[in-house]
Amino acid sequence: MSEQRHLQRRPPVWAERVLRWSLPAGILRESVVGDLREEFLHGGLRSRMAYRREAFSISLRYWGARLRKSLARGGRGSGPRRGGGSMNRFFHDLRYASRALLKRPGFMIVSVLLLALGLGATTAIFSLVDRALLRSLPVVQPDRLINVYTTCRRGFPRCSSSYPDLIDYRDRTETISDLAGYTWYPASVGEEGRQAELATVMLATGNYFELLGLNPAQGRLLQTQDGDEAAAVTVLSHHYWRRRYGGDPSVVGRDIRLNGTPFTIVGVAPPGFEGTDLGSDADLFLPLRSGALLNVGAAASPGIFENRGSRWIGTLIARLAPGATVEQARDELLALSEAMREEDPDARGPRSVTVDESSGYGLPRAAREEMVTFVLLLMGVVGMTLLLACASLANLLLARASSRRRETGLRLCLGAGRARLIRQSLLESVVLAAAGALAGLLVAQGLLRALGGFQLPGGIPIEDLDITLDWPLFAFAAGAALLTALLFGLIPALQSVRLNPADAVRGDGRRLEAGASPLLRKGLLAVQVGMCLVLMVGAGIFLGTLYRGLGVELGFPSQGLALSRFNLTLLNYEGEQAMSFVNRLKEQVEGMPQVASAAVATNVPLQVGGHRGTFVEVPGYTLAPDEELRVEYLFVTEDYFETLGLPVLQGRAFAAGDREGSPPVVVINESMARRYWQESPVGRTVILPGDISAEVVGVARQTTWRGLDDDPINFVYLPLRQSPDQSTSFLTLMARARSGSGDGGDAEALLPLMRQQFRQLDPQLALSSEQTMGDQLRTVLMPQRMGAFLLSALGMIAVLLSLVGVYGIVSFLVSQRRRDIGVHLALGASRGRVLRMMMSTVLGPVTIGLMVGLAAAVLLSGSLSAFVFRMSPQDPATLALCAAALTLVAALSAWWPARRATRLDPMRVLSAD
Amino acid sequence: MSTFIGEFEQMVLLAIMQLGDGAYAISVRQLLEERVGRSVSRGALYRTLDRLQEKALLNYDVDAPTPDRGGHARRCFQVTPEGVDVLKQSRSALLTLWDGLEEELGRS
Repeated sequence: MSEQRHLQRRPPVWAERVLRWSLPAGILRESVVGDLREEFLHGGLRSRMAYRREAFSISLRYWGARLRKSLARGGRGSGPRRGGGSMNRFFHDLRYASRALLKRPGFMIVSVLLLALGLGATTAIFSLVDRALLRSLPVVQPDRLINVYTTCRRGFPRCSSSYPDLIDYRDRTETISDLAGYTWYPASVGEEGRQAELATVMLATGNYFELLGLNPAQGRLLQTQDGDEAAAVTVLSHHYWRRRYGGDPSVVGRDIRLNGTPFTIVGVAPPGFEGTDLGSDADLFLPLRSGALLNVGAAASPGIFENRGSRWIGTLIARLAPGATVEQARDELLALSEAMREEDPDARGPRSVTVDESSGYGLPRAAREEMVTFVLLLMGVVGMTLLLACASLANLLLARASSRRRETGLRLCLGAGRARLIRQSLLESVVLAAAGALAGLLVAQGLLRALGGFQLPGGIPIEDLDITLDWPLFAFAAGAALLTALLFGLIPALQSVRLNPADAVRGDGRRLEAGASPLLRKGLLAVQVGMCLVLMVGAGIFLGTLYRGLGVELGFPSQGLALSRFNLTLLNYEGEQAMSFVNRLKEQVEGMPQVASAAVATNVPLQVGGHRGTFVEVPGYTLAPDEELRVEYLFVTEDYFETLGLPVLQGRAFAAGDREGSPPVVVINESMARRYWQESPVGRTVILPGDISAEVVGVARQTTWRGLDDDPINFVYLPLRQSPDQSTSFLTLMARARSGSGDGGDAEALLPLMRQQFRQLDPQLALSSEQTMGDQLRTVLMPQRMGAFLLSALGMIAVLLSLVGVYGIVSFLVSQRRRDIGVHLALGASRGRVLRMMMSTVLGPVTIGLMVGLAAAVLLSGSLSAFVFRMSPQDPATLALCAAALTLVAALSAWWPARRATRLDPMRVLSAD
Repeated sequence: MSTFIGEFEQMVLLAIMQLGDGAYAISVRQLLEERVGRSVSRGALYRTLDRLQEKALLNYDVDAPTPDRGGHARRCFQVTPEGVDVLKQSRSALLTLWDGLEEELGRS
């Protein structure tokens, strides 16, 4: 390097700039910058990194020294030293701003709280949304993945698929490069010397991992030949590997017993991958065909892989061929399904197919739309809260600036520079925003923790989503708050420095008010009132729905019912053995003094998941073309109707004699009876799948089933004793507590007693859930509960903010217009008139706010319709009540400071000038 | 004048005296590192030089700017007579305290 070029080498520009900025102007700055430059060229600071480090370290020393000095000075009356560098002035202003804020703790606390709530709620909810909806799968090119569902009948576009369907979709399409299918089962995991536990198993076709483009964390993943050979191999999910084996790599190659069958662990899936459904948490992955070894569910049925009519593979996921679009794939699959139906009309081929983009986690299909609406609603509400918080902050800042005009005037008179005054006022805003952001961070963390207790629609616990704080988003929200603080710190600052200092010091109200700020404040107040009303209406509608939901006629009394779910298949109970377990369990539980009656059933009302549907025929009823007679069916013991409290309106309930070998019988529900029979169906027959004709022996009352607002569903109840092989995988023991006082008894207290009975019968049996019917009802109402909780909390904050806003404006005007009021009073105006005069100042903004708020509430509440239940989302009573309540609050908060005006002594006010 | 100064301040003043005419920040730091074997942070050295100057224990001349300093001037330090006094005081205070301990401390 030539000498000339060597000398042209320059140190890092920014580091040098920071250094210059940090050092006091003069020879000190010159010599230090020169020293570093010299060392950069010749000495020990040759690398740019070393230069940066040293420059920042020296800068820090000087800043620290300054801070210490300015703190030691205490700042009492001491201005910045002349020529002391910009840092000196900065620290002085910072100290001044902090002290000014601390001098009015009320203002400080309210503002910080506002920002904290606004920022915290926004960040927490957006983090949830991001995780639930926006984040894509941790797989290769998730945007090229689609989900394919078989349409089984009208109105059910996303049903399971059969294995022959899967093969056809995969092999007879050009737009799809590969297609995999999977379904879920629970399995009991056991090993020598370890307690058995329940685990979630995903049965997937061998190409599943390859299609997603995943690499193993240990060993290998499932391969196509695993599926072809029905190999007894399993891949652990990363979290299960960590939890159960402490991340021990030697676990690969070891055996693990699933439902008693040994499987070889061949590998561990990559971290973060637990399946392609939101909230899904597969513990183990197994080849689809190896499901037969688990001896559970459809996968274990003989011939299931050849049967086109058996639709049991829950989700198909496919990768688009290079260049193909989702639309092309959809068109091709639709054409294919039509061809398949024509080729084999008797085999109940697919009616049609549904193709979805799989850009995010595939939500459980029932939950998809409801959840999107719900989450969008949350985002809207939270966005509004942030806006409301910003508007309120703006109003507070404007109010504060007005009350400080006198001080500003005084400082101008004493020779303070205008630029300096503006800078100080901006710095105050920055300090405020920073404190608010910090508190907001805490609120966001707390809120995320609190939200963990709730569930998303579809029963996905928020806790399972592992939501972490979304930092870029927090930065965005904090930036919005800072901008608000700066803007509304700047406007009054600019206004006040334009004042004639003499007017300001004298406190001449009229001239002071001449700025735009009262108008701005009134505008902001209108915005506040409007948004407050929208939030209140939202809260009112959710609360109304919740109230109606809790009081809804379920068809049976929900109090006093305890429910324990268990799965006998996992422990290889079969047929008679399972039946005798059920009988003994029922006897023992019924023998308990706290229990009035007990029953076992495959399902109970309001249970999430586990619903079974099938097609039946009713002799004498001719189906219209395109009509199918689909029913929900469940197997129950004879005490089911009595225990649930569901009356059998016609005929009889099941009896002990309805057992294996006796003629098949069913009980149907009211809606089915009305629809398919002209007169009483008792004594008639229903043709069940497999051409079994069963006699209808009774008609049970209609009950709510999946949710509170579902359409009437056709129901067929079958006696559990008549079909012991059918249904031992998912059973629910239901017990009704003996009531002492008639309020239904304590179901909660029954649960541990029931658990004891299970343990006595089989200590190995793990219960998959224990809850009361009340808990289940609350789960069903979860979106309403969460909505009511959030909106009520935010609504209350909003009311408080509006209250502060109205109070602030009126009390400001009272203090500014003391002189006017004095003149009015001196000239004989009545106190009532003065009161009206002062209160009317906020009449305009409040009225405008109410009107705009009402209009917005009516428009926006349409988005609530998915969650509103047995009331209109534009319920006029709720709208009127909220508007009236808000008017009352506004009137009260205007009345309080206005009353002060009427108590002024005119003589004293006028003589003060 | 009975000012006592810290150990590092003493070292800096002594280094400046040792260096004579060529005493500026970089050379002071080098000398301390080489002779005393003590690693010295630049920030600490600059702050110490400022402090000693505020106490009037040293002053400086400004050298003409050179290209290899990017056209920035250089401060060449000298210890003031007050600085020399303070050093003497410190030395005699230390020697008084050392008195009688040579045998014990010398051994270790």
